[in-house]
Parts: sequence; structure tokens; C-alpha cells
Amino acid sequence: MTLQAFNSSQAVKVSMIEPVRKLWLARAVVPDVDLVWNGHGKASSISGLLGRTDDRETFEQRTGIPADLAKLCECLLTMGITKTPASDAAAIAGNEALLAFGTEWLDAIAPGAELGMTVPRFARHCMDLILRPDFPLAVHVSPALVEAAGQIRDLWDRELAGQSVSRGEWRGVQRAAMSAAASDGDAWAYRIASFIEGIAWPIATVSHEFTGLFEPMFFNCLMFEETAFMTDEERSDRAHMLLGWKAMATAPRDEIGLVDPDPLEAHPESARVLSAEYLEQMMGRMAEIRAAAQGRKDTIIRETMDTVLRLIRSA
Amino acid sequence: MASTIIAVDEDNFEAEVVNSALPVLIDFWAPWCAPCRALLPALEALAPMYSDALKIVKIDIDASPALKAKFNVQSIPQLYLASAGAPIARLVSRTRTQLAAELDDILP
Repeated sequence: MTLQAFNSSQAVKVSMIEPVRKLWLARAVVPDVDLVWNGHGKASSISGLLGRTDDRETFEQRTGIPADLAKLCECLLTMGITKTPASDAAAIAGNEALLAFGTEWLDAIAPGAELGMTVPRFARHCMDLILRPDFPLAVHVSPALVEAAGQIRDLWDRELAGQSVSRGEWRGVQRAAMSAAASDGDAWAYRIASFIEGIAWPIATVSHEFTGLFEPMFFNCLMFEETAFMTDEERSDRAHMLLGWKAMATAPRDEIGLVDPDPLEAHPESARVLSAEYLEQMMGRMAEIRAAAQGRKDTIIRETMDTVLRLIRSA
Repeated sequence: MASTIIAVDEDNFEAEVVNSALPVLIDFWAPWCAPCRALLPALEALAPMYSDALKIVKIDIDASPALKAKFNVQSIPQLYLASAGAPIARLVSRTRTQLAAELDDILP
């Protein structure tokens, strides 16, 4: 089904966006990667309010906007805001340059625009970033992962050029991506490896899974910016923390889903930096580091938002 | 993407799972489970790829406690491949790429 934004009507666009703008400017709407509408005391998300629904299909029918694009835009906003618990209303805070994106992405959508390839084209952009020599995490990405990412991008480019790519070719790339991800041991590469492995599919089919794969990788990239403000010891501890998270996430589970034995037993340094004692001891210092890195993170988030806006406008 | 996953409960389990001519991949989930919601897009992408070899269904464990007990589900998401209503394999992968590889190894 081809979607046409706002039923190809400027009047529909205005009538849908203005109520959202009013509540967004009042900070009474909370970005969420899930469509949230009238949720039992929970504030609506921007998209939930726009479509007045928490159902994907209903959202797309009403707005003509792919739910996967809405999810990506909400995800970028969640990366740049702080949710403040409030008893009677939603409350969010953040850099105004990032908060502006809350309605910018809606304003950027031309009535009648077909946005089905916006998320796939953004996926292509992400793969380009990973492959750039100046990618901040480049030294952490193994040659095998780079090779797999390059193969995926090459197949996507063929597809975008209208050429067919066989199932066999994709299977070969998927095997290479899984092998590269499985053999990678770098603390900072795990989320990137998961992204590359999970996204290794024809570009027209990646929208639905994209944000779920992108979100942890993007968070990982933002967290890496904090290392510029850390001591060598703190950087080492952060690496052990990431390895601990990976060990817990990938540990074999028994028939009822429990991890046995404790995956951190084999990673004593990870166990140390994930202990409540360590986290409590470092809480103040970590807050200092996060504050110091916030400007760099905000710049990256804003640049990413601008990329999405360009793709929306060019649809 | 319209959902291609069939919602199964205790009322239609017999018809959709036990009497299925195809093996059935059962996704035990719950609406409050974030990892379950994260897994769903991968399953929805897999469903049309394996439509000739596999049926994919989801069971809300809160709405179907008897099915939860039947499969001894104690954590979610939990994926079981079933034949004639009985589990024949438990799938541990969580991305479309890994799940496709796992299914290709299991399915005839």
C-alpha cells in the first residue's frame, strides 16, 4: 500500500499538526518509540497524538506517514530529552535545538509525499557513516565487520539503482555479517556488529526493524563521546562495563530463559564495574562526564535529525 | 507493514496450531514486554519469507495462561517451533538474520 502524506491536503496537514504543536510547545507530549495515545495516565507521544491512535495501521491510514518513520523521529527525540516525573502532567527538558525537531519533522512533510523509502535511505546513510574513515568508532570496528557493511551497502546500491539481487547473494552477505559479529570481541563494537548483522536484508524490507537496531547503536555512539572526558582508568572501566552488558545479553539461557551460570563469573572486571557499590561510588563523576559530553552529543543528534529532515524533504 | 502474525489464544489454539498443516512458530509475548515488542518486527518480516514452510503465531501469556503452562513458559519473549501442537524446538535468536539461519537449519 502506497501512503500519501496528509491525504495530499495542506488543510489536513494543518488540522493534524496544529493540535500537536500546541501541546508539544506546552511540553505536554512525551516522545516515545511506541505509539502512545490516551494511555492510562501516560502522556501521548507526538505520533500517537497526531494520529489519535496507538495502532500502527490506523496511524498510517489517518496520516499517510509510515509508522516506521514516525518511530525513528521519536527515537531521535528520546535521545535528546530528559523525562521528568510529574504527577499531573508530562514534563520533558532538553536542548531547544533538539526539541525543535518535535514538530520540524512534521512540518517538513509535503502533503502527498510518499515517504516509504525515507527510513531505508536513512539506513543507507548510517551504513555510509560506519564505513567512513573518520567514523568516531572506526578503530573499534573490525575489518570483517567493515567488509560485511560494505557488502550490504553495495547490494543496497544495486537495489536502489533498480537492479535485482538474488536471495543467494543476500544469504552470502548475511553469513559474512553473522560470522563477523560472532567473532568480534571489541567492547565498543558489539552494538555496531548487531546493527550490521540485523540489517543485512534487501533495503526495501528494513524499515520495520530499523529503529530497533539503530537505537542501541546510536546510544552506543553517543556514549562513546563521553570517553573524551574520562581518565584512562575510567575508559577501561567503561569498556569492561560494555563487555559485561554483552556477556549478559548473549549468555546462553536454559529452557525457561534463565542464565546459568552467571555470565559475569568469567568477567571479574565487568562484575566489578557493574556492581552496585561501584555504580554508587562513581555516580557523581559519571554525571560530570555526561554533562561535559552533552554538547558533543547534542551536535551529533542534531546533525542526525537534519539528515532525516533532508530525506523527508527530498521524498 | 500489516501484521502477518496470527493472534492465537486458548479458543483457537486447536485450529491454528494443533491442526496446522505447517509447522508453527509460536511467539509467547505480552503487551507490557519491551523485548517482545522489539522482536515482533523481525517475526513480521520473516512471516512472508517462510509462508510456504511455516505459520507464525503469537500468544499473549496473560490472556492464555493455560497455553503458558502447557509450554512451561517462564520468561518472555520465548519462541517455540511446534508440530501438531507440541514443541519440537526452542529458538534462541532475536534478529531476523539469526532467526532465518536458525529456521533454515531446522526446517526440511
